[in-house]
Amino acid sequence: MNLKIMKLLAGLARKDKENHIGQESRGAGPALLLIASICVIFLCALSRNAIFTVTVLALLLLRIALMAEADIVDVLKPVLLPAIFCMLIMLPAVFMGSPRTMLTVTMKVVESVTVLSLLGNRIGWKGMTGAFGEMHLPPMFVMVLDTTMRFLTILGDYSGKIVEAVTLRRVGEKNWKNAGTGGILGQTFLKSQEMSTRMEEALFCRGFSGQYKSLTTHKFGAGDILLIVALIGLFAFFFYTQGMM
Amino acid sequence: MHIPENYLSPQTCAVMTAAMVPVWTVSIRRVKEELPKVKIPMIGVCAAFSFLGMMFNVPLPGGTTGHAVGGTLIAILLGPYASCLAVSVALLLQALIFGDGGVLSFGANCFNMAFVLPFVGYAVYRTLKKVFKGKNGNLAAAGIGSYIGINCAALCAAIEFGIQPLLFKDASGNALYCPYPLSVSIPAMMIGHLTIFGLAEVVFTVLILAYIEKTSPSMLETRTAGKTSKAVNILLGALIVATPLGLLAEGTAWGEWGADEIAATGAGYTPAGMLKGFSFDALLPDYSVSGLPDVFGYILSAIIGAALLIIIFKLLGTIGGRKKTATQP
Repeated sequence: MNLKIMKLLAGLARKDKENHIGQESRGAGPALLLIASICVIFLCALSRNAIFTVTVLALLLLRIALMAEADIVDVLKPVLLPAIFCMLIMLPAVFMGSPRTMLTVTMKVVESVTVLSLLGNRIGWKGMTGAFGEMHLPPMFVMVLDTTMRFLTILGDYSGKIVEAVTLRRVGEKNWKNAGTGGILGQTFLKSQEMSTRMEEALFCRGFSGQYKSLTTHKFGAGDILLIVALIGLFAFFFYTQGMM
Repeated sequence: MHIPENYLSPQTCAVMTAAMVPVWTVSIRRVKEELPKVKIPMIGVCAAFSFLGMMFNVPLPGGTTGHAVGGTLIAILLGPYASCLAVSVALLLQALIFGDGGVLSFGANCFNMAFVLPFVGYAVYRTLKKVFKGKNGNLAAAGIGSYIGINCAALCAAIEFGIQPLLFKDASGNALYCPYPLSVSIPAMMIGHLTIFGLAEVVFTVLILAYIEKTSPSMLETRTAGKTSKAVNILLGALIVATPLGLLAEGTAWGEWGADEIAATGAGYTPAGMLKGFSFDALLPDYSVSGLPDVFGYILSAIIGAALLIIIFKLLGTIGGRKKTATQP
């Protein structure tokens, strides 16, 4: 269990490896990437035939094929479980004589998760919260999201250390009954309360007004124009394929 | 040369698949032992070349078509075992996603194109490379090796077709599966492959090998890390865009007719095994997307196939292969 917590933390930390403070983003800006991703997900969900979905799948596969091996693993790992889950749920469609329904729905789920996974890999969680700030979403929403991601890592590390300490001090057979799981979770909860109080005091002392500012110095450039043109093309293709029905 | 569904009996398919199991096992083990880990993603790139090569249909007078495979090319670049795996995975994708080649006859298709073709082609190449010295000796050996390799594969396919009427007949003496005996299947397959299709394989192999020698010579060295160069990616992209040229060749390849077409080819009847046999609905049958022009469907299929192959082997590269570089065999 300790090893699994560590692996999860390593995964979260690796996904947020880019630090955008004081750096210009390459290509399109985070806000535009976020908007484009949401548009692609909506279009795939609304598509009533497989033509648009298959085209988006081809483009996503092309994008993934150009990435480095480690990034491909990061992007595809979150896709596996939803894909399998969706296929299992849609399996009755195969027995009812409509296997393409299962394939189409699974494809849409895979595409939606892949788009979000690509976005997370590209801009990281810090970039994502910065993008929400640029889009003038309610600061409370952005703060909750940002704080959740940070404390997942911090509290995960904290509970991992408690588990390690308990494991080293334990005598006898190791199982969930005598692992003191309730105590570990309770201690983590108490620590989270203490940390949130300290964070509130620290934010107050530093004059945090509740507004989130993006610290990236991204300037609107060729990457953004290219993305906008591609998005317009995608919308046009969507309406063309839906008009063919 | 893709054998469709129900052209071979289930028993033949089972035997061919069983014959391939040790080949795959040995190929996986040898690739893990001999190929550096960083080179495993290149198997995906080579598999993508093979996949795209198989989409370029070449016409033969008489109404049939064929295609290059590229197995010998991959064997020269990465070794015959890697070529076996690359072509096998390409054939698997073609069978499952595009309906090109049967699912049950996957073992037979792999035996012909993933085992016989690359191993024979590579053996001939290795032998002739010692004979042909000089600047273009390598290319000449590769061309002859690929020609002999594809013809040996075609001969195996012809024999697999031709023995079906001998072994599997109904009560009235009609064949249950492929209705053409050896006296028909061997000339039909070999004429095309000894002429146009063999030439296509030679051109495909020699041109790509020459291009790689000129633009990315590091790909030919097993000692180096061999990351795919921009030139190779550009070539892949160009081949993807050019795949609709394969649509210009009209007609169906010999032995790849549908159940509704075979009676009109001269057999006079549709074998019972084809009428009632196994069927599988592929996602993008015949590399087309219903409702869209064939050209668009072909390009989409090329992108999906090539991208999937590259992704699969990049993922395998994170778990397999040797960590140290190997010496050249």
